[in-house]
Amino acid sequence: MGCAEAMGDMHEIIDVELPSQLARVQHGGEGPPLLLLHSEANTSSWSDFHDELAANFEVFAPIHPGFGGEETPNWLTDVTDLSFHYKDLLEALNVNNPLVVGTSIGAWIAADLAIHFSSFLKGLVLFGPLGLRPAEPLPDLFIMQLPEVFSYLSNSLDGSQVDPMTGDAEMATAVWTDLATQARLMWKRNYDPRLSLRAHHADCPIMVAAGEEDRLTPLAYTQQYAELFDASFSSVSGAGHLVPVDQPAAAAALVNSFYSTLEN
Amino acid sequence: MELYAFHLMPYPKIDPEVREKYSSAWVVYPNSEYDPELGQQLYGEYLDQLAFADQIGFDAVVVNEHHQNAYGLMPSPNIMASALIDRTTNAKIAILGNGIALRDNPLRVAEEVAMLDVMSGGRVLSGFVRGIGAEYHSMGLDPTRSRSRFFEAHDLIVKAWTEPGPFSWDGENYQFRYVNVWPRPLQQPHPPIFVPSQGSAETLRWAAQHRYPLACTFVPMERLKQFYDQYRQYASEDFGYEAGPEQFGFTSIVYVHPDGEEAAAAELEPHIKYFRERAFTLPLPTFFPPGYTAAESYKTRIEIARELAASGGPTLTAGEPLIGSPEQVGERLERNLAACGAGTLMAQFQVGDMPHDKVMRSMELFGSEVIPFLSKDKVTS
Repeated sequence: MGCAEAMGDMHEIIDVELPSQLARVQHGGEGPPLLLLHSEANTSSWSDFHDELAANFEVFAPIHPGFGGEETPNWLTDVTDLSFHYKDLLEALNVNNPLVVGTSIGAWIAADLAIHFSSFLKGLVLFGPLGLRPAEPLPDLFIMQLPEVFSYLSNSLDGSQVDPMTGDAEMATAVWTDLATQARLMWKRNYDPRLSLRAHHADCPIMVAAGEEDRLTPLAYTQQYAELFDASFSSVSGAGHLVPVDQPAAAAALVNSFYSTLEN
Repeated sequence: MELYAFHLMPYPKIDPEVREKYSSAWVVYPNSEYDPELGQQLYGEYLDQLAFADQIGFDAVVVNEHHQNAYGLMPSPNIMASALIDRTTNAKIAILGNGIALRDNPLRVAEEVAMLDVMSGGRVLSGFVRGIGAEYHSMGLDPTRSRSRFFEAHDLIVKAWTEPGPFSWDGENYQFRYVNVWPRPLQQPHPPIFVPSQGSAETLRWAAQHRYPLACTFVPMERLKQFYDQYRQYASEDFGYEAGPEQFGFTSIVYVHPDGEEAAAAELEPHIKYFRERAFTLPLPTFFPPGYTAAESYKTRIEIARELAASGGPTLTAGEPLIGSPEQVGERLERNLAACGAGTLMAQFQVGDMPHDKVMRSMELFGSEVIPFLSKDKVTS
């Protein structure tokens, strides 16, 4: 484990050397361990949702390789590379049996992590998971103007801020570089054709949740995801695709209630 | 000085009402709008224009590669180059360029360009391009791999042309147990390689290292000077040679009219407008999809996009406009080349929806009244 720098009372940043690369982990709160895998489009920073979770859990919230302003790393080829990256991270941090919470692409990573290593995990909460082959093509985030990307992901993010022509160029670039690494993972196929063959290996309790106003993945897609992973299903009102971004308190409440159903 | 005849082979019937429903004439503009019978006529006219350039003394004719759009109808530049072999006698056939990073098998480019070189008696100039961002949407290719694929495909093709086969290739992007390209090119060690550039430091340095001439399209004069100065600096400081004018070329629209600039500009204007507004427009995510370039370059792109929006569209002429009487065009052409130390002008006569007869009149005047005027100082580099 590397250095830790204090970030006020709420959380600190821990740098961890892994075989793949350096992992940057936001760490805060007390309680049972929780691995939080963030979504796309510059949503990796410590937020209200992190604070809500940190009230009941010890939260480990790493920044995915190639996100948060970092160039897409060469070694990264698919989501399973990230599953091994995070398995290595849990071992390096000596975090045992965490609850894993993921959103969108982070939920896909969480599902894949469970397929490979479910015996090391307490359970999964997947908000708006990606990775399943859709019946109809999903909207193409990569050809959209950035404000439109935001409108497909969330009903609370302000798209005008990331308009390259009139908004904040730095913020637009941050969203664009996150999308770049997402492109590495999702450009050719925005799903993993092996997921349906392997889902049964994710042998831990799983909850799937969708925003009722999700514009990226249809409700039927997320319900099918829940069925495939033999998971319970919830929907959250007032939320788009990125449920924890739009409704952090409701999302955290779902996590808490799911956790309370798990055996110790 | 070298004169190349540059062509985009655009589709001239983009319906403004249909076009309005789409963000661009690229990628998403429906191909139901393409009329193949008109297409046959257009290919005939466009090839005739390039063949005519050969007859009036141009040093090269230029074809290029763009996919799934109404901007340029040459998804396969090698097919166009092949059609030009028998229609031309002296001119080089400049493929500027093959989108080598777009090919899952770059050896196809090595094979096709070698075929063209042999068939044409060694008249091929071989440009290599990464392909603009739109091509990555159209070809279903991950743009984050684009730079790595470009450099590796280049290395593979050059080795396939220059080292005896069979050999094996085990790269990050391409793997071949047997590389043994037949035919080999006629020009030795291989056809001259050109690269276009939008000015990234990495590409400029790489081109300077290999002594590859830069061919820049639609770059304004101030930026051309920056690019060329940077290239010359890399050449002298890092690679120990002085880069001459033969290593620099750029495009300009050319329109010659016997009555001078005002008459020429008035006739040209609707075609420029068509080109800018209907054919050229590329929304930023189409032009620069996520990962196509480094984050710093994307920030520069945002600046350029803002400048373009403020100035009303892309610069089609670098330096003084090559629009007017033969004397005006000839003098300005020489001044423009001198202004940035370039040796090659890539003249684009056909613009947007400009009809064949208009193109030919302008080219005839260029051939009869500009080229002879230039040739007194014409230096072959």
